[in-house]
Amino acid sequence: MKQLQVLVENVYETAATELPDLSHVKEALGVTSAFLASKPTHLDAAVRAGRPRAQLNAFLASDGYGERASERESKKQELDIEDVRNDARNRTKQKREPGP
Amino acid sequence: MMPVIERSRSASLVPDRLLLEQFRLTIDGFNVRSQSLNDLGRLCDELEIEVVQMPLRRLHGVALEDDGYKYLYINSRLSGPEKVIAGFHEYCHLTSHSLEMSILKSTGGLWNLQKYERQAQIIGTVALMPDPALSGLSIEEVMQEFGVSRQIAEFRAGLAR
Repeated sequence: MKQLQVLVENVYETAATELPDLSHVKEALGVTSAFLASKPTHLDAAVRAGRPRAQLNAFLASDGYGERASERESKKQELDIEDVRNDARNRTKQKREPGP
Repeated sequence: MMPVIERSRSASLVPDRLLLEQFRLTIDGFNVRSQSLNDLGRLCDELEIEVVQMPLRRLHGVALEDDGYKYLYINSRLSGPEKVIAGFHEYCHLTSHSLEMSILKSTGGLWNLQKYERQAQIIGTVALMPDPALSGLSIEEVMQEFGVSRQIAEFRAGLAR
């Protein structure tokens, strides 16, 4: 976690202007290193499946609302992400193996 | 009508100003004139980012990297102004953020992911609504002039100027 914090803060050199220590916030959210270590990530899944890290498609999705989605809306988001990932995979495949 | 609030200088706004300055230096006319989807297309061509418009159910946009190829998806069902905001929002993710961070989203409430979203939304809204075009406009006038929701107009008005 500390590495991630430093990485993000280095992007805009904000370490001196923003909260220098967020450990109390992380604790309040339950985001401790022990908690993170207990949660398997997509990366773990990729490693378990034997896929190299480079082939794991990473993404950031934005709903434009900036608010917590209901269960139904969350399902829509998941379907959107699945559609986008499939589309991107097809486009990547075409780039790797261009047709005649 | 209430005029757009001009926030005073404070330490909390320093990161916003740094972010805007970074994009002003790299994008021609950023925060000077309203950017368009054509502008976004040119920027993405330079960085070999493929821009794709496709209908989505809820998401406005997705920034995605697959096997070294970068993609910027925009929901084709959005209005013109919303597409510009979504497009530059995702452009900010692709050029300034580590997409690998998204794998931590399932842990919930991770502070730096929220920070990414705020930064990207700043870039998206300023791309469409530059400072000079907002001068003296009320929230209602911003909504009418740029065709955006009240939520977006208020977010933009709340940024450092």
